[in-house]
Amino acid sequence: MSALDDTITAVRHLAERLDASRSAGARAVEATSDALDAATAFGAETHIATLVQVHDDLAEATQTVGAADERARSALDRLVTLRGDGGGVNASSGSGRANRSGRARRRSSGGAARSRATGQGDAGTFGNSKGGWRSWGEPSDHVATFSPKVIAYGGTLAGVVGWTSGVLAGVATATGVLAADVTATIYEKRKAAKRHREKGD
Amino acid sequence: MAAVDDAIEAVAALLERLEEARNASAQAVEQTDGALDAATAYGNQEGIAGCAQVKDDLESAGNQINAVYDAVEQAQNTLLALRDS
Repeated sequence: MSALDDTITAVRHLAERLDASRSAGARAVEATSDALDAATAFGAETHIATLVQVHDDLAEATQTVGAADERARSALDRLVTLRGDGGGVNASSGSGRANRSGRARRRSSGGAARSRATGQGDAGTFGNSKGGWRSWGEPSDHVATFSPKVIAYGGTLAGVVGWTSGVLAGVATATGVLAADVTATIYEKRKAAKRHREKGD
Repeated sequence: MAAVDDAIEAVAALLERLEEARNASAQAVEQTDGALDAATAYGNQEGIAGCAQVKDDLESAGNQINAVYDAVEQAQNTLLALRDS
C-alpha cells in the first residue's frame, strides 16, 4: 500500500471516529438535558445553573466535533482526488494502485509511437503488412498493393495505349494493303510495257 | 440523581470517542507527512500542495479535538462534583 493509500485510510478512520464522537456528544447533550429537566422538576437551583452550563459546553463541544469531522472529510476528498491523479505521491512504495494504472496508461499511450519506430505497426497505404512506416520508400520483399485510384489510372492508361495501338495497327494494315495495291499496279504496268516492247521488236 | 449519573455516563462515552479521534488524528497527520515526503521526493508539485493542505486541515481538526476533549473533561468533572455534592 502506498503512502497516499495509508493516509486515506488513516483520515477515513479519523472521520469515522469523529462521526462517532459527534453521535456520543449528541447523546451526552440529551442526557444533560434530561438531568436539567429533573433538576428543574426538583427545584434544585444550584444543579440547574450547573447543568445549564454543562449542557451549553457539551453542545458547543459537539458542534466543534462536527466542524472537525467536516474538515477531516474535506481532507479525505482532497486525498482521493490526489490519488486519482497518481504520480509521485502514490509511487512512494512502488505498489500504489493509482501509480500502477498511471504507468500503464502512459505505456499504452506510447505504444503506437513505439510500434511505428520499430516497424511493427500498421502498414501505410502503399506499405505492406510488416514494414509499417519504415517501409516507405525502402526496397522490400513484400508484395505491393496499389490503391484503387492508381489501378483506375493504370486501366485508363492501358486503354489509351491499346486504342492507340489498334488505330496504328489499322493504319499500318491499310497502308500495307494500299502499298501492295500500288506495287501490284506498278508491276502490271511494267509487265505490260515489256510485252509491248517485245511485240514491237 | 439518576439523570445526572446518566449524563456522566454519556459524557464518559463521549470522552472515549474523543480519545479515539485524537489518536486517529495524530496517526492521520503522521501518514500525511509520509505522503508529503513521497510527493517531495518525486517532485510532484500538485501532490506537495495537496498534502500540505491536508496536513493543515488535519492539524486544525486535531487542535479542535484537543480543545473539545478538555472542555468535555471539564464538564465531566463538573457533573461528578454535582453528583457528589
